[in-house]
Amino acid sequence: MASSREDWLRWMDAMAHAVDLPIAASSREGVAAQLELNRRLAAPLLDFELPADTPVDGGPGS
Amino acid sequence: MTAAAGSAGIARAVRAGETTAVAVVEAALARIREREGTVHAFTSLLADRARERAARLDDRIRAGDDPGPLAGVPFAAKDLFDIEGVVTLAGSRILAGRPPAARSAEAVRRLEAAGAVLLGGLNMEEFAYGFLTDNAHYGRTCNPVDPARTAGGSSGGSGAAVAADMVPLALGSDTNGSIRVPASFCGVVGMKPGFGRVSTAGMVPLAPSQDHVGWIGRSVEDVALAWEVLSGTTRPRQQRAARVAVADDYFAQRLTAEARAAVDRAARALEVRDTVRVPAPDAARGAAYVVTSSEASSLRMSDLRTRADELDPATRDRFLAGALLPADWYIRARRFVTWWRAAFDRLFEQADVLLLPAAPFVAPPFGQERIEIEGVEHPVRPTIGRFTQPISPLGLPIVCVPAAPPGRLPVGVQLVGRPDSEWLVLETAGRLAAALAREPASASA
Repeated sequence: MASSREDWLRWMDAMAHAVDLPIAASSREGVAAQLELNRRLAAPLLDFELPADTPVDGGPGS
Repeated sequence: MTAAAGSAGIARAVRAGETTAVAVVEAALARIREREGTVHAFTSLLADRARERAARLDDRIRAGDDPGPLAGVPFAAKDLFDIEGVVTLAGSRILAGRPPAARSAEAVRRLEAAGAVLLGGLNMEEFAYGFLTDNAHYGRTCNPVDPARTAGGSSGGSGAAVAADMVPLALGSDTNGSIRVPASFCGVVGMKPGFGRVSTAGMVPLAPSQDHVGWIGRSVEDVALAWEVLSGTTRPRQQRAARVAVADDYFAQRLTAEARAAVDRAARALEVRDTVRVPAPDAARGAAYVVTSSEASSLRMSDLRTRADELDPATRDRFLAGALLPADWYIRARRFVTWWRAAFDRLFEQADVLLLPAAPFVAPPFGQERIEIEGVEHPVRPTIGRFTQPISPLGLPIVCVPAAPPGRLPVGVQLVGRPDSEWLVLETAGRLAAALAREPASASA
């Protein structure tokens, strides 16, 4: 994923365009800040080394 | 008789003919009139409907019929539960143009079938997505303990309505802590049963793989009574004492002295000496976050494309950002939950119930954006769910019990049990509440 602020915003705009999701100019900074929060909170999950054969959770009781 | 008597106390008195359902409902309506201007817990008040139902209950009792274990108990429901004849708003303007619900949600119908009387709908975060109940469309719900502070969220109206003695019981929902946080901030008891144990039919979803029906009451006895009714299970006659352990490491870090003191006080009261270490809690919190963001945004995709300007700007930005999360993150999150479920199975070989903080601090004042904990500043909003989010994807039964010393701002602790152990968790919560009530004031100083 992009690292500099401008790269980050360009990535966001490209992704939003790709999924046909308009982001109003007034929302751009707010969404970018939220994306950064998402990335910060998800980082430990993305760094966690899962055993390769771990299946997708099927819900409680699975 | 007011809500302060609790669900169990009211039902006993109504069934025994010591008071009437109509008198109880009128007392609750009077209390709402008295406190609503300050607290703003309700989004709809169904006074005529409630009076009519209460009168029918009284007729049944006079005729020798027993209306059920919640006879005459006033309750209210977070405004994401369908109420027959009322438009379900879920805290959003987006849904305001929908027709009134044709049928009440399953949880509402179960409570009514047991004799409870619905008084209205309760304020919440837009689409249950947040922890503050500072709703851009329908206003903020203030904490009855200190109206300058948030009641928590997203079931903020539920916590506040019970804490203000407007109703003794309130339905809410919990996806990442939306029952547990308001219960902690408002100083009342909250329960989130195991995933799927109470039907979410007729409830506007946030993230379906983590959404739970939950409820808030004044006492453990009251939330246990609601569990009995909503689950259709029976309280065991004898319950062995649970082996309780305190979660350390992550769950003992980044919390204020008040929140830490609550855990210590609860551990002392339950005479807990054992500790357990929960593996990879940061990754678990990330998984809960990614699952919630992805599922919530997917459900609102159509609105984001055509009516984004009708959403609260803060909610809208969260939905938009969630819609851009890579699929790999979501799949990784769901795989992680598989691994984490197995890790918890091993933890439950060491203890039956885990004791955790419910929130990292007491209810913050509205407008406070940062908080200092252990000499480091943290943003308030993303930190509130630090202790409730990680365990949310597992769908375990949890009861939140207030544990701050008397006279202090409320803060709660979570009691977390293995799957299908709701009654054991409730028994432990009851034991904890009783022990805390017995504790001399000097022991808390």
